[in-house]
Amino acid sequence: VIELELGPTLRAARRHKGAFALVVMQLGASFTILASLVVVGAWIRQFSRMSTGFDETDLIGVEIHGAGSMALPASSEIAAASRLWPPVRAEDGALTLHRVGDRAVRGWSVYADRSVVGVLGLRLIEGALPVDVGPGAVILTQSLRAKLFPGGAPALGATITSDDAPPGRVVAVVGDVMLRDPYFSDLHTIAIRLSRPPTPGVASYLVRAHAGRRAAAAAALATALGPGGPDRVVAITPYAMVGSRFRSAADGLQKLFAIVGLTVAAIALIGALAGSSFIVAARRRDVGVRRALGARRRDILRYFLVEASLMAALGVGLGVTVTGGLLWAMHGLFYELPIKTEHFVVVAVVLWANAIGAAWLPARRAAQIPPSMASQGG
Amino acid sequence: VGGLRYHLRLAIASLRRDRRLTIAVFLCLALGSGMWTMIVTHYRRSYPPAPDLPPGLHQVEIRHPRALEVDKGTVAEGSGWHARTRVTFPEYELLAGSGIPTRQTGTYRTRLVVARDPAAPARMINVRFAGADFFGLFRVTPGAGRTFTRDEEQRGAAVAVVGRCFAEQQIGTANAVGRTLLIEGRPFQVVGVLGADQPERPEWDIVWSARDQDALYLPFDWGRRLSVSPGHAALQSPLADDPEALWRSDAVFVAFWMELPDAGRRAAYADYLARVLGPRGQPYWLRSYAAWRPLFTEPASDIMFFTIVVAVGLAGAAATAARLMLAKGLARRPELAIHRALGATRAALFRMQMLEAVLIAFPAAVGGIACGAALHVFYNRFVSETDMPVALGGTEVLIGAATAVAVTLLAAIYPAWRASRTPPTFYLGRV
Repeated sequence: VIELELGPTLRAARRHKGAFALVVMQLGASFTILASLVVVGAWIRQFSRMSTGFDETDLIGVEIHGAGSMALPASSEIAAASRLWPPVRAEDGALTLHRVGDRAVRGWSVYADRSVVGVLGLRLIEGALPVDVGPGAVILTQSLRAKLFPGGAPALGATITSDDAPPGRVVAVVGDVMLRDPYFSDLHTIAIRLSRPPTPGVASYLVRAHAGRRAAAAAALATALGPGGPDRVVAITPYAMVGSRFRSAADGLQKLFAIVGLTVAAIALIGALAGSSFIVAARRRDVGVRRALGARRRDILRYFLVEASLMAALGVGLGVTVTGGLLWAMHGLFYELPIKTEHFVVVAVVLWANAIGAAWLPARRAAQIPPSMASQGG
Repeated sequence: VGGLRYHLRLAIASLRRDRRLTIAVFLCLALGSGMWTMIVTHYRRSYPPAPDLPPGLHQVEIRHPRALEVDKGTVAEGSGWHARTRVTFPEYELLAGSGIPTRQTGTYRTRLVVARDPAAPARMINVRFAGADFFGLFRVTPGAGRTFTRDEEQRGAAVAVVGRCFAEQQIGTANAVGRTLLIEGRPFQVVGVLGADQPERPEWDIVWSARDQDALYLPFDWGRRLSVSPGHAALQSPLADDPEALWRSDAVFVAFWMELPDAGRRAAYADYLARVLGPRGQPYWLRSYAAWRPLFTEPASDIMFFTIVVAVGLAGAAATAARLMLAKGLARRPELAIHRALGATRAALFRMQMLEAVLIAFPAAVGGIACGAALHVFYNRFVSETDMPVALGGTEVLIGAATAVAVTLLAAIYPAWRASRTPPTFYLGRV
């Protein structure tokens, strides 16, 4: 069967090699662009939706910039509040080196008071947080602990120094949480310092509202803190909105990818439709001869569909090679790029369906060609 | 001319006859070149050519090993921009204290509480502190008013230069000269408004590339007076607990530039550096802007990836167009055979096909630019992360149009060649 179907197709491909090469090139290029957009789009989506590791549902961020700072109001809507200082949002490059002995590890410093553990719902893995914990106490995330104290060396009670803070003593280790910033690495390696930084610049709080009372708590905070003024900025935002600018840009980028992807698919479809029509029209006499030699209509239909499938397979093969090479060459640009087989399979199926769909109508027309066409020119 | 007119009429008639194919070719090329035009704009924005700055512009790099280590944690891993292009405040004072008569500036940026008038609510605004020479050294020119002067800087005058975008969006007028802004609760008078948006890569402080632009410029010394906390400061050791700690610390945050326009001043400054920095044992390098810039080119970014992907897409569009033109040419073989039988040479048929391609190429170029412009609008509205709009400039329009024409003509060569090889006897088999 394969010999019967592939033989004429391969002969036709040899005869029309220019046209076939163009089809394969076009399909390969379409595959490359679509697969790249799907893979990178999935990566952007994953990155923009990355979880911090703590429940953000009822969390509110409060920042007061400008002259003086204010105490947060006591409110029946508020479950707990923690004073903390940038870079809780990991902005403006507050990355530093943490050291234990000769070992130096790159990571973040977050300054907070002890209630941050309860407000964020951090999971204590080692140590405890006594009420009288003094200044200089440090809580490490699991990732930072593993890097600073490899091989399970004891961490509690150890002295840790940093380039941006006085020496501190490790009092606890908590499960990993993550700062949300697309522009930096090491977002899990965090030292939470239970002290005030020397130049705070801004009064910053994290507030956890009672379950389901976030809006009411935010309103109560806004009323109590006032609207700000010419020398003071008060910002009250749901914590889930942190990084929302990046997220909305990521959403926009995905829409743009979708537009470009649809455009490419449209170009591919236009090309496939016109190409298939031409291929069929140019071979009316061949079809007539085959029909005269006993080929049935469904044989003719299958002949053109096999041909379209073969070209799609070659195009996809070319596309997979180019896309794979491109993503391999550029993998350093996309941190933890998730290259999944299903992405490639989906694009391959779309292009194959595109090619088959475009070949179907002309092939059906070809199947109607009478055997008498064999005796005509063409 | 008559011949050309005849061939043009023939080509137009041919394009009209196969209208659907013509439209399909046009769409393929317009959409492909539209995407290309957009990516070219982004590429040129992310990897701009070196701007025309004074030839004598110099920067001193002082080695900061600890800050350099932290630099590896940014997305531009290993770039060293934070540590290598900036110095500490005490180092800045040393670098700026040579006494050589020339233009020089230190600069850094932070976010401050700014209100457009005493009755208005304040906002957090990007403020750059810079010397009076900053504007001349980097050719940052006002569109209205003037920049602040050395005299005002020395007197500690509360004056500000406003970015164009900030003036239009926050103050509500492009001519805000004379207005008073409240910055951290203190009144500053606006003396000038810049005439253009900041480039995506500000050469004066490249760590702020691809971020929101500088909204306000204040005299350098005001930063210390306002006790600001500079953005992107790379701390190398803990700060003491007092307001002056930052200014005597080893925190790296000031970009310093000076103009050394002649050999005499360059030599004098090199001697000065050897005297003040040499004994410290800390490696340093004095570089002209021309030597500095290749060391701090933009790292490979996702824009490069998308440029390659779109180039592949453009090749795909060209292949589609070629396939369509091939289909059209081959479908017209009987007609071409008649032309050949009537004496038309192969070259004439080839030219005829190429002329048709030319007639498609120019509308495709226009369509591509329109498509690119639409994509820019979409990008600025839904994707852009900064306040610097992506604009389709003259160069990008030219590149986009030239690409569309070139790709169309390239795509047409094979189909035209195939069509021109139609034998004069071809039609005989049809009758």
